Amino acid sequence: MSEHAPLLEVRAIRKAFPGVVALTDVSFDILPGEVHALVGENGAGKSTLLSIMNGLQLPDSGEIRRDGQAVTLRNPSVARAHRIALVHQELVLCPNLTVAENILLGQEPKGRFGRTDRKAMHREARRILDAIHVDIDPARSTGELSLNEQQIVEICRALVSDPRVLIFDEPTASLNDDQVQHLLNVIRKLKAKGLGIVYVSHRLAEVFALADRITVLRDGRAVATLPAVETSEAVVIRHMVGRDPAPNRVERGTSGTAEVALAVRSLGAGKLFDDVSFEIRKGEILGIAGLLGCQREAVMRALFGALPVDRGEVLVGGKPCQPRSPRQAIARGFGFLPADRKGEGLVLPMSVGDNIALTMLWRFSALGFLRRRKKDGLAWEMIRTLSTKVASLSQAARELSGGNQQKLVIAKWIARGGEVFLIEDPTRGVDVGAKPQIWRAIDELTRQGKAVLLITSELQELMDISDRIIVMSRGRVTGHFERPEFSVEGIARCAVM
Amino acid sequence: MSAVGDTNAARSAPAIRRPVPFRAQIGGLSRIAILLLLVLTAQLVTPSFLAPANLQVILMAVAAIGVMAIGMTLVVIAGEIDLSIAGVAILACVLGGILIPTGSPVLVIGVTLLTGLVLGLINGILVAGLRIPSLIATLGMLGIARALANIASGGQALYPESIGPYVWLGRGTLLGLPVPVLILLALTILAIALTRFSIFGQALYATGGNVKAARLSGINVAAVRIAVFMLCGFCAALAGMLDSARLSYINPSGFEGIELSVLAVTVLGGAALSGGKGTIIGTLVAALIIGVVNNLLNQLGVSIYLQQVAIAAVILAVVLPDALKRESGK
Ligand SMILES: Nc1ncnc2c1ncn2[C@@H]1O[C@H](COP(=O)(O)OP(=O)(O)OP(=O)(O)O)[C@@H](O)[C@H]1O
Ligand SMILES: [Mg+2]
Repeated sequence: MSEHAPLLEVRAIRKAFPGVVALTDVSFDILPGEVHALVGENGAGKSTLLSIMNGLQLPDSGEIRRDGQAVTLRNPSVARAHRIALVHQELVLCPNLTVAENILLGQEPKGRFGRTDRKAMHREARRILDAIHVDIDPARSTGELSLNEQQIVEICRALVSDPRVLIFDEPTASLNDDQVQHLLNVIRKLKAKGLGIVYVSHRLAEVFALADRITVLRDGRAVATLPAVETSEAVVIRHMVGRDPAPNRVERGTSGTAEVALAVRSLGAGKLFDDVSFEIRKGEILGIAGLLGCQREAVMRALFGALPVDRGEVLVGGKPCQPRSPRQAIARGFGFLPADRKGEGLVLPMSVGDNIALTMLWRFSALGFLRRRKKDGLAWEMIRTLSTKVASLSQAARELSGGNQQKLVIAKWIARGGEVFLIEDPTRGVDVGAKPQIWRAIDELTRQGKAVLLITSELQELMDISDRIIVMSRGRVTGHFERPEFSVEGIARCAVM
Repeated sequence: MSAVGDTNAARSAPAIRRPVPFRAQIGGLSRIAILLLLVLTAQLVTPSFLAPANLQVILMAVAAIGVMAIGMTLVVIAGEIDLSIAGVAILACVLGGILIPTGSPVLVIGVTLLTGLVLGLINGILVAGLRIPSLIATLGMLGIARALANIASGGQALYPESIGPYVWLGRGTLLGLPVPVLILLALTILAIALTRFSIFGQALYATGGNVKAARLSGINVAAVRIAVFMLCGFCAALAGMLDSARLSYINPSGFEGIELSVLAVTVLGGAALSGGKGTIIGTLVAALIIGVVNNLLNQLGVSIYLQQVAIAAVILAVVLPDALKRESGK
């Protein structure tokens, strides 16, 4: 491998934003046929480095070489012409277009008279989807795809231009375990074809399964580049956080009282799900496991009043409750932490502080006027509790790194309080050091007697933190596990029932 | 190890700053700079420009459109648009004007403003309740309100001279300043309080910035939308009244195409039609920029058509750098 010249090389890159230096003197290279992983804490500068390699941003200083030639990647199409492609961390698909249209957006095959050749387009989309062994109908509308499927479409989109260097920014953040394996296999195939692959992920197991070399970024500096076979997770984590990592396990402080906080009986919504029943006691965490399309997300939305329910009954603290809007649900003590932080969790143009305050504006009201001091005080408190990396309270949420945006979503709901928390993938895109912090924050909620309904994309995480797990498959509850009975096999069996 | 501690400084320093995005401040400053530059140029070209009399002319010319633009800014921040303002202004003034024979200023002025609020409420219900896109709903309202105004007035102009306080709104002075200018000032202060210093303002920017996230955060987005349309209707009626009073003449076919000028001012002021962005100060400065350019060109005897070209050029010159910056930033 080492006898090859690098496909892409960046040298002494520096990039600053108002209030933060995102990258300082970073050098990085990718050899043909290798997976070079890039890891680091939230806000370390990974996404920034990738967007510089992909022409989304220009560095303040430093040099980029493609096959030894110095190049200026002024914008992504220049990068594409140099056969460098990026799979986004965040989903940037057009929901109103079909899967095929999204995959080939801007690169549609042209038929006679320059018209878009729809047949060829579907064939091409099909071919790319097949190449990574995914069964999604290219004619489907992207808006109705689940987050997971959208992520796959995003990956297909990068493959269209037949790149030599392929850059992944947390491609598996929203994927289920089995799909992660799927994706890793696809990447191995691409690597075998001689592509150079840059891979960013917070899931170190995955990084070690895939990477040849690992570069660690810390506070905008490349602190180490290590061959994967010669190092270990512990060493990498130490480089990431710059000290010995905090213990990873969260001791659950409670496993629930006897009092039932939320009872759901034979809940059904259209064709989405039917006859869903479960109870959560105060102080308990109930996990819902299930594969793509099991509709566990729909159940949460229905409970939160964001999706109409037509059958069954919901009891909160013993009293019937049929919220018809999120507002009503919140008034009854529900909180909802969505996985799609950009689309549903945050108002990106608003500031960090304003986003946190959004769930409880009335608390900062003095005759309708905003009590700014009180609001900012609370916002700082939340930001510190979750060690969110922000330049100031007035920084726009858009400018935060992915993991820090995730923390913001959690902050705004923990600050709000409530009785029943519906939590979707709370550690998506959060670094290994910060994950326990988030789990601890959720554990703390249960210590205060709150009930938590939890969905995660990683089954292991769900098993680590939940007190009980129910399994859903095609809109029905197919299994129920108490903590001592948790097993990957047992849950997987129910998930395909 | 200490390197890690350093970057934590930002987290642990609870410096309380005003939550205005950095760029918004810069954007606002650059507009004020442009305004000052224009004033300076104007003064150099026509030495009488800064004379109090001329400044008063400029402010008077800006008052009505400024009032309308403040209402429009609220709607645009909420991510909607209101094309009905001309219709609302006219119908409100005509319905108020019909009551002139009663001789009661309270009735005439009250009905005018109330009509603005009610028409705004209807706009809001169409948009927030029936989910009709605001472009379509308010376009419909524009046509209907204009037609109703013509029917109600029989196509005849109405003359409010007999109502003293009404005329005073357009022509009077208070503390040496023209009343319309004072009204614009008062409205500006109220609107700033509303957008910057009230919890409604937070809900407003959230609704425009990301409706889904706002709704899931428990914000009553329907109420926000209805409120901004009502406020915009109120501003339209008020502006209509200021102009009618100034001219002593309620014209049932006036304000033709005013919505485009008002939108231009709003966008020039930094509001984005995609929602969630915009400031009252920006809008006010934009209205002044347009006022100054118009006044200068008038003094120079430039034809009205060339003036329109000049205004368009100014708008492009101000808005374009913003747009380009956003393009390269993302
Ligand atoms: N457009 C921007 N304006 C201002 N600051 C920015 C901008 N983009 C990124 N930053 C800042 O630069 C730093 C690095 O961000 P980056 O997104 O590269 O982090 P990351 O390593 O990808 O983190 P994560 O794992 O959370 O995705 C962060 O402090 C972030 O707030
Ligand atoms: Mg990132």
